[in-house]
Amino acid sequence: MRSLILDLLNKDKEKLLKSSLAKAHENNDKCNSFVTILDDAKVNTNNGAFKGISYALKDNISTKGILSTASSNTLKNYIPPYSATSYLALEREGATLIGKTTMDEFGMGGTAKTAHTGLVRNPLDTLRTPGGSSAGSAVAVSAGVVPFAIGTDTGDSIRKPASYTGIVGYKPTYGMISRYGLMPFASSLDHVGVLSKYVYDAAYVVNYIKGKDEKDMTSFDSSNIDLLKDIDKDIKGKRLFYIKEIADINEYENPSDELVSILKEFNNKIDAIRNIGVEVEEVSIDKKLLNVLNTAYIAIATAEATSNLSNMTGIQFGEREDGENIYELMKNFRTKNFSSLIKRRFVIGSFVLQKENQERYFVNAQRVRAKIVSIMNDLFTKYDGLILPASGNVAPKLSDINDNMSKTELAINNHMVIGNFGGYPSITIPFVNYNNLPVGLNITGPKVSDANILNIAYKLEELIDYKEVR
Amino acid sequence: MSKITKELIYKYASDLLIGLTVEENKMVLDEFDIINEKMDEIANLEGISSIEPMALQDSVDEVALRSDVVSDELTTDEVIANASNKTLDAIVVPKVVE
Amino acid sequence: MKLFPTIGIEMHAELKSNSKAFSTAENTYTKHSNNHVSPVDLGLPGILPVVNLEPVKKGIKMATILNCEIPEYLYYDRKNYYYPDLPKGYQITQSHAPIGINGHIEVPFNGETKEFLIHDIHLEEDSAKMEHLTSESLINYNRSGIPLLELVTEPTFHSKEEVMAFLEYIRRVYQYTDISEADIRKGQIRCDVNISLSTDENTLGTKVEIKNVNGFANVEKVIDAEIARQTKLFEDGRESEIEQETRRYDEASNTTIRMRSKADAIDYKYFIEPNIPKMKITKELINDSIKDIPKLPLERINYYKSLGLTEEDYNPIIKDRLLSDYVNEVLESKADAKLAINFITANIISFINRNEISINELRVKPSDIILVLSKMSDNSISSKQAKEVVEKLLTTDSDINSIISEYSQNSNEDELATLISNIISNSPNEVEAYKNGRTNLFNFFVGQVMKETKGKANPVLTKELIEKELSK
Repeated sequence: MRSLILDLLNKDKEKLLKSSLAKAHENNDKCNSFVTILDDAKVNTNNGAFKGISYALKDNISTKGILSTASSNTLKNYIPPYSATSYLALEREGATLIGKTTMDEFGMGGTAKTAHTGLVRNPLDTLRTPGGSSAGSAVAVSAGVVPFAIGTDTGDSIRKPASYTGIVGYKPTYGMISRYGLMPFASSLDHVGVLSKYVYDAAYVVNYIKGKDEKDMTSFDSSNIDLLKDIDKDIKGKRLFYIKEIADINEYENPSDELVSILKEFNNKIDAIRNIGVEVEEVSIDKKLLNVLNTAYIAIATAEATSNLSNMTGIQFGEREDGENIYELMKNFRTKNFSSLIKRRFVIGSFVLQKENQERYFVNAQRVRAKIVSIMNDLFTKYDGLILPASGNVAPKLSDINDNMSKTELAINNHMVIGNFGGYPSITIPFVNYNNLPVGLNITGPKVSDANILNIAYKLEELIDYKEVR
Repeated sequence: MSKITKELIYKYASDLLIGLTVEENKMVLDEFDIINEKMDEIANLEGISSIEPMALQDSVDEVALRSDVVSDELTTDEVIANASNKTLDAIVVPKVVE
Repeated sequence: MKLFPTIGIEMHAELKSNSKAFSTAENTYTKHSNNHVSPVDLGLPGILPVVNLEPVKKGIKMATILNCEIPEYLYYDRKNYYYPDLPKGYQITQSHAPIGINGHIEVPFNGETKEFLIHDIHLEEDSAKMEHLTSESLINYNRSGIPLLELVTEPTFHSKEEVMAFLEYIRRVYQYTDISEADIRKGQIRCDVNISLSTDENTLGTKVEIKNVNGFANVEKVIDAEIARQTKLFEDGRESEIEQETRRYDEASNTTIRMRSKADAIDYKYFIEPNIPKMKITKELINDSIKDIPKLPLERINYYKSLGLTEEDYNPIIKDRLLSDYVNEVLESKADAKLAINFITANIISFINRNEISINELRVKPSDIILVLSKMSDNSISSKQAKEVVEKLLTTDSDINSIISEYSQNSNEDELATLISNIISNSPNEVEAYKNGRTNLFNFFVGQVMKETKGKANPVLTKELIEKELSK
């Protein structure tokens, strides 16, 4: 089995913890990957699946008694009085929490530049972004600080950073892991998931923290699903498809060398996959629809986020601001503490919900969502999964990126939102390096087909035999 | 739909209890251009208006409601712990007049 | 000028349940602050609502009582606004698919009944409670998340009296059905009142909303005050100044005061709560919700009327479902209705009122009353004795049968005749005097019989037998 976790299960956990903490500091100095490093952490002695192995949590996961900021100034001193269900599951299973990782504020945005503690750097090239929003979690795994880290994914917030840092990012079916205690960005799209070096490890972690939670009505009972049992089964005869409008270089006007190279590698891999007996077919989806997925995502996500973060007023928690009256007080708190991106997105999110705009913006966005989900559900009756490059580029330079909207966004860079729209299991594995930087391969399948998708990902990981940068 | 102006954007922000800088206002205004263009594309998708919108995820399990049992209360100290201004058992805000 | 008022009501009632609407904290009323609060009620980052079945069942129950249509699926929406008593920055409510729509209900009105129209009823959650001090306000989250049912009528009322009859009746229905305690002192009922005046019976005037009216007495005052205000504007020819707006009631001045105009109306940006999955409202759930609906007050009133009872007879009874259940159990024994009601009113209701207890805390059960009434009707005990039996039963722990037997009259003619014959033959002087005209000595013989029988001799029979014996 390709697995770090299995290797570590019987190792000395005191030593592992010490080394994880030391690496965390070193990595944090270099990449700003942690909001909090738990220097006085003790090896977890609970008798569970993790036997004391160290891990890190994204800072939007509520941890009782431990600072949980979601990388926002609004919560810079917030110590929750309750714990997220996913964190409690890891505690119960004997995993040792060594720190809380830096993220894009409240999970909004993918640049890794909006955390209240500053931007996060890619350990493979510190001038570059690791991607967001699960930036610190991806960095900590990529740099070998911890064998796995918990992330969250609303648009592609686990799977994009995984692509940019050369690791595995897995977002299970919506509801497989409880969201209770996940500080929300957009509730209908948010997922808890995992970043790890290997597919097996991602499956291992989710296998032990999944389950129906009475505190999350959208969670479901998956006790009959074993994500590990058949993970290395032969995948001959499985059926995959890719979207022509995204994967065919002829669809692009003036493609960059980078994109040309990535798609060429992708096609080579498709051939290799066919050679091991997996059927891969090309499917066409209306470009007009693909081109508006990101806008639909922005409308839905920002609308939900505006409402979800209405509790950030400085009254029940947060460092209170002054104000002539209660509204001024709340306004000052929000104006001072939210990043510029969040404030701008809030205006959009609130605009699309306004009575006179809701139908044209928010509801039409939900219709786009319904449309693509219905197309995918149909395709998933014929195929085990969708396979595409996780992005059309390697990690960009921090200085080259911002969160501003652009008219010319390529579907190849935001198609993974389909996984959030439909709540599908979706996994990114590293597959190729371009200019010494990694790009991931994404596989997305129908709801609750997690075991099948992990099986495919595991076998493709074996086939691809990705060589880490350096 | 009315034309989006600088003033409207300030009002929308203010309704959200948010202040915007001049630069931020300008950025939002520019972004609305993009969004509106894209929203036109969406509105022009064939058959869009007849699609049932997807507001939430379809449930995997049959949905069951919670039975009416008490648990999980915070202590009073926990309730007020994170508030900046409080008494022994309540959170304090400037007097609210309405 | 003849003006026609049209009134609509939004009535919020706190629902009875163990735990809150979307959290597991206790739904209770205490004098302490912030001791029944879960992370959900405090709106902490990361919390999720989990729907409590109980308020849903109560919503379905009320929807059924109000003859509403119940939707196919259960949905909740978010109502977004900022206020310090609203910790999440939104209230979970039902906007686009309320638990009941398009209903109607018949309500007792002026000795008859009248039907009023219901727009919808919907489930939602209460906000935190604020206490306003001189310069600060305190927030107590105990109330945050308590389940509410909001009942929205159509503009269906045309007088204050109709509104009050409706509100009182709905309140009684809530109490009968255990949907809500509907305790006004605890602030469990709050109303918004919509009023418009028109010179023409068939058209609606401009609607003015008066928000957050606490208690029914204030609803009455608000209606009077607002009708007076609008009437004055009509009389002055300034009716065009009546604006579609939101006002509030100021108790001190007994007037309504402007809060905001329609132009400033808050856009609540409703959208479907994404954390609560769509759930089918099944036949089973509906049946389970409505299976324990008791006979409602109107049905009971009709029953009492059919037994020849008057409003004065049944009004004190229907105030309380348990009392009415109690009375009905007695009435079902075929006891004389009028007699039974009078007996219960005089002996039972006065006792529970005096002692401020509930009817179900009483030792005297309907079966006891039935027994006492039957003993009265077959003359085993007098009405005075019946009263004493019940009194004893209420205040001691003796057993009904032993009390009754203690009181039961001796109506055995042979036994009494022998006793009387003995008394008369043992009192030759008194018999002589009686026969010589001292007729008041008759009571001496009665007294002797009562003494011998410890008062249990049937007085009518006793007198008859003494007369017979003396005339021998």
